[in-house]
Amino acid sequence: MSTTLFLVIVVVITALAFDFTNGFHDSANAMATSVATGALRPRVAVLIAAVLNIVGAFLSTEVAKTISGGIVEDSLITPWMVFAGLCGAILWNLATWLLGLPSSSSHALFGGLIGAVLVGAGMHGIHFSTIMSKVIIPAVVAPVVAGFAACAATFLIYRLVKKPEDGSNGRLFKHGQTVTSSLVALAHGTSDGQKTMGVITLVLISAGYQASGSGPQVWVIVIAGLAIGLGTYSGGWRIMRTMGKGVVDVTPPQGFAAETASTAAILASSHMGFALSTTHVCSGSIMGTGIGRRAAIVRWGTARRMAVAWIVTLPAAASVGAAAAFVAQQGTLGEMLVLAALVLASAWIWLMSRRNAISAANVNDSADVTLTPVATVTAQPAPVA
Amino acid sequence: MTIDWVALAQVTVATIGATLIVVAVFVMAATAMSQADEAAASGQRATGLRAVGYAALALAGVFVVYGLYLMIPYFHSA
Repeated sequence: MSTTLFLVIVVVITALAFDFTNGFHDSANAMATSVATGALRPRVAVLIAAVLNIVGAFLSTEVAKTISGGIVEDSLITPWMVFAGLCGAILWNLATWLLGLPSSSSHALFGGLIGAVLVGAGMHGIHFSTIMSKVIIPAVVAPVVAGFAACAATFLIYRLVKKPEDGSNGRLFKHGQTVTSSLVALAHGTSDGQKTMGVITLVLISAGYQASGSGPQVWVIVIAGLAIGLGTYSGGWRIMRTMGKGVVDVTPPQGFAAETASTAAILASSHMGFALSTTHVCSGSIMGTGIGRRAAIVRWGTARRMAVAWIVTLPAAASVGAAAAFVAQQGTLGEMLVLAALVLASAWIWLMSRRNAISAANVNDSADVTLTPVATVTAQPAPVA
Repeated sequence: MTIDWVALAQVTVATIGATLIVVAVFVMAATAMSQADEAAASGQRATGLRAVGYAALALAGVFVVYGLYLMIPYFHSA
């Protein structure tokens, strides 16, 4: 087997692994509020989201012309840099999942790539002004705009509707919420499904296995769609708990307000050329809906941890991507070492998550995601002063 | 560095505007339906209120279809 073919296979597999983590990380964006309010049973919610993600991936296969969209100098990117970048993105996605924190998969991927290109090609490979205009400004705008819309929507509903949570009103908002959540899931499939297809296709082209400028091959569309769908179905319950219960205890009208604002923000941004991250939009909406209802309690501690994750995602993934690139550039042995490290680190994170496993069965039982099991019935003994 | 302030403003206005329109329609549906329930409970006819409620829900359905239209690239590629 030639070293090029080996590297291409490794990149394809890590790209699919990233796609899977992308799915389970973002499952909560669409479905957390519906799961928290009981509009959908947890298993049903992730099944709907998974199917819509796959459908979305098949609907939209018009792959971007470049891997990074101009954030790094695309002509300098080599397959091993893509591989190192993917490692950074996967590990950051897994680490934040372990802590139950939503974080943008696109930021993780961009971060990983930036780190890898910095090591592989140096400073001139990075387009700092594009990072500012395409990554940092949208990351600040997304939660603010979606949050404001969700806040105003929640305020209006509670102001204008008598007893919006009860009886037929409650049912109406739950149905509305199910529909808007599904729209978020479909939109996610059309945007994020295509990201992995793009990475695989561009690596195949750069290695000479595919004609330049051609679209993704059918097998690439199928496996990328399935990877994100399977990831979504596996649920990412730790993040689901934080998004649905951790920041605000979401009621059906709030869930409807939040998902409507998220759908509006995602559609508006993707059609007006100012791409916003689904994760940033949805986290912002959920916080906004907490502020919009006076009786709601916003858990600012959790909100603060989400904000830290939101800031740290890019540099953290970049650091891992840079470290991975440093080792991977040594050749095939280096690439194998990085791959082994990725597998070991992922397995370790998974084992850590088993200490306090969160699943469809217990996702709504608590508001916190901790690393050690917490007794749910008996109260924790107060610390001795 | 070029930041597309116009696009940014458009996204902001469109997001908030669209959210509030959808929510207003849904609020109308919820209010009409629950008033119709109350009227029916006290023995009055509530056909008009019901009709308003269903019309509002149908309008919400139109918004969903428009959302799908925006989302699916097939409808945009020439």
